Amino acid sequence: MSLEIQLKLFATLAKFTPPDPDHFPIEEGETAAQVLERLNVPLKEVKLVFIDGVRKDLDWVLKGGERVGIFPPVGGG
Amino acid sequence: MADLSQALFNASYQGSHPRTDPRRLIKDREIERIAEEFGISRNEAEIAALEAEIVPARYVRNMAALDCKDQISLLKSRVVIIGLGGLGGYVAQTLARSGVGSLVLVDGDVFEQTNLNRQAFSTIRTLGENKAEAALEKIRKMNPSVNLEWEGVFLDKDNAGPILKGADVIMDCLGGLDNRALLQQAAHDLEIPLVSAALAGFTGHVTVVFPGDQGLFSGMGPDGNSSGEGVETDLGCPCPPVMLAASIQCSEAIKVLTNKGKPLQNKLLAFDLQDNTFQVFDLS
Repeated sequence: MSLEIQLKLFATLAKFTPPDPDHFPIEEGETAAQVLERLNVPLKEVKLVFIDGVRKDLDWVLKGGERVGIFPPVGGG
Repeated sequence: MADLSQALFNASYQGSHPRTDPRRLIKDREIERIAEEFGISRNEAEIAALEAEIVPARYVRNMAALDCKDQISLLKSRVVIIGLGGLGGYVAQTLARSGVGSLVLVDGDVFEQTNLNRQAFSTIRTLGENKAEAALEKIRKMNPSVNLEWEGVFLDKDNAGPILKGADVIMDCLGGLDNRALLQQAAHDLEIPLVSAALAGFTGHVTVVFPGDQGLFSGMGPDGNSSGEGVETDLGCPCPPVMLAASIQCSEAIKVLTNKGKPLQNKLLAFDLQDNTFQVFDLS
């Protein structure tokens, strides 16, 4: 069975969004960082990682079926 | 005090709408007259009126959503607003109209042309003026009962303590990442809840940091330190997300001050107005 996640890239990272972000295929045991690297997202621009709505680190191992939200540093006012 | 209650009652009138104005109301000019007559502030006169269940007419549309007790809590509250630019202008205006009793406006910057797309108190006439001072003049006209102070300085580690001390809530309305971690630390040290918002393009997020919470902005900077520019430099700051984030900030502040609802403690409400994403993330 193929694994997939639902991916939302915010602000400047939105430009790296894949064509079907609600059904993005992942490999078993892949980390959030590995998924983002595949999409050419510069990891040093990633400041907040949310897996199923909860803050995690980039090395969080995905199982498939998660909602993944990624933010760069946002500071404007 | 009996005289004050009597004077307030005599100056009040029965609200005309049975559902929305069931109570006795009092107009601004009567609050002003009675405050002068009794040698008290307008803020104190409004509190005395509400304690006698007479609602200043300017707050009657708050009622039902807030009760007299909540409105009294707001009138007795002191809120410090750090930054009077995009977020801070709408925050100051909204809290003043809501009836927060004391506002301290803090900004060392002056208005310039590039602020005119979004900053509430930037106008052709206020260009070149200090943002906090210009805001104070406008807010006084919206709600003259608010006790207003301003400081024409940027926050730093030496002035943070004296400026923030005594606040019931601090509003983080800074632009850029510089000083956000410093403000968060100062709020933590003084044990004051902090309501933070930040934006880039059509994305924004809001959180409430209570004393002891981890907060958001430490290590957020580009080199893993806590300062520098966020991606707003690339995406700009259009007006609608600024107003939205400021509005959510004020709603959070009112919840904290009246001890109502569920504030965004250890939560990050994030939005992207490009695709209408609204999500609440868990920061704990």
